[in-house]
Amino acid sequence: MSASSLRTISGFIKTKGKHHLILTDELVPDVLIIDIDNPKGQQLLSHYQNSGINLITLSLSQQENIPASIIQIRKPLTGVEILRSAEKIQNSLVSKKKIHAGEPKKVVDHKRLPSEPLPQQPLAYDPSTTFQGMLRKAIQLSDTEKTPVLISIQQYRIEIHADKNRARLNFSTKRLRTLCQFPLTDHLCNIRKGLMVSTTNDNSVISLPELSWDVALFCSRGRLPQNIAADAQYALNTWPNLTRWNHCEHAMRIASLWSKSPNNINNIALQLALPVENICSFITAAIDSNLANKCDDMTEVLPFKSKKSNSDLFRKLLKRLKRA
Amino acid sequence: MRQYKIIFSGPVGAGKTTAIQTLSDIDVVATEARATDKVKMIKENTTVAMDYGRINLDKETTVHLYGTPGQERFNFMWEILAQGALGLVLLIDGKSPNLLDDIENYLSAFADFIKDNPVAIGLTRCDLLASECLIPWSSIHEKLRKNGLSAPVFQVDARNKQDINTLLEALILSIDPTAE
Repeated sequence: MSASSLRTISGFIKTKGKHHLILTDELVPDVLIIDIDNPKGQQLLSHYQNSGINLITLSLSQQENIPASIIQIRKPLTGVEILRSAEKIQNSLVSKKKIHAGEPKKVVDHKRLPSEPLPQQPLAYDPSTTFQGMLRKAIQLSDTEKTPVLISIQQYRIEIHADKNRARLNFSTKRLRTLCQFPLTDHLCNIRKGLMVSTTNDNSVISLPELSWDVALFCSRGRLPQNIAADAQYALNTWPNLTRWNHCEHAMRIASLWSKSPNNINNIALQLALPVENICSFITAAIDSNLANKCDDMTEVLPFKSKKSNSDLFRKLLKRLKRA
Repeated sequence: MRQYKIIFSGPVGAGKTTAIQTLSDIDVVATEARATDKVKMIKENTTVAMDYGRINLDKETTVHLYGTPGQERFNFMWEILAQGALGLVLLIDGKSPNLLDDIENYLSAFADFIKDNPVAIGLTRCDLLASECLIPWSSIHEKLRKNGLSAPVFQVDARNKQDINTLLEALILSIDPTAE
């Protein structure tokens, strides 16, 4: 979607009394936003539904009985609600692409026991269009040019010092999650050599491993970057700082198993009986923060065998630690 | 009666006694004496033999927590205390200018034990770091890699139950990641 389209949508959302919006800069629209509480909006919906165009339709309706093919933005409109819808659109686009590509049906692995869950195929995303990709680019530039590099996204500034392994932000690190939620282009995100011109002393300083970890984790959201192969083996060399850094669910168990030997996503998911999304987020963040690396030599991954002797103690102790 | 042991070690003033106090179900038995050497600059009293605390899991199962004395001249105690332990919790002062050397020294002092048993490292007192100073994560990670270790290293506050519990949880899961 072009920048002008984004501006138009944002204007539409902010303006009261508008019923529908058609983007005119696209020959075939991908997205249709309609307020179907309104008769005009309903007319437009039926027009498009009957036209046979493959549309993703967003509804601004408050109604409960919305058809399944329509992604609903609930009123009142909030940033979170719009982001949720954007994510649904993206997922919908991915699944449509798969259908068009004639994706083969999943083959059941007969070696697996019926009680074992089938590992899901992780969703892929292109990190270069996210803050994660922009950050990587900036760190690389700072590293090769041996100079501070400044990332600017609207009013947000991040100063990268690869030589000192740190970054300075003109905003709270709590805002990082928000920056990772929307797609970025070179137009929206400026990367250049230089320092931040700051009028306040309220800048946050953060280490690059922590910044890279957080950003990759927030951008991944259970998906896998295109440059990470789902079936490749990766080694976790060091644990993340799990008492202070943000982390996905079950991060402790993933780290403990993965630190024992190189492993792949599906194996970890199977052995720990965890959703593959958790593993994808963890691996993405670990690789970006240099805690993990890809193994060129694929070795046979032997499942971890626990010693039964202390299992009762560990169960009791973990229960006690978690309860406290 | 099943009895297990976990060792807490690290330099003087890193928070070993406090961490054991945070975890223990009983009042910690400390062998403290008035500091007379350079430790006096850091704190008035220091552990000379060991600290002792206990986690009572049930009537049958107890985990004993032993803290080693920090000063190197008492290091003959370290090996004695570590015998038969489930694992080692290493607490290192995160704001010490000798942070990396401290890690190196303790890893080599416990090298024989670490070969067969897990270690979890807690970096304490990091909240006292100046805002411009950061934990040198990359150097710490590099140090562990050189020692062939992939151990958990967490920033902890020895007074904070959740932090110390998380560190201990990591130690247990390092032994058995499938434990629940």
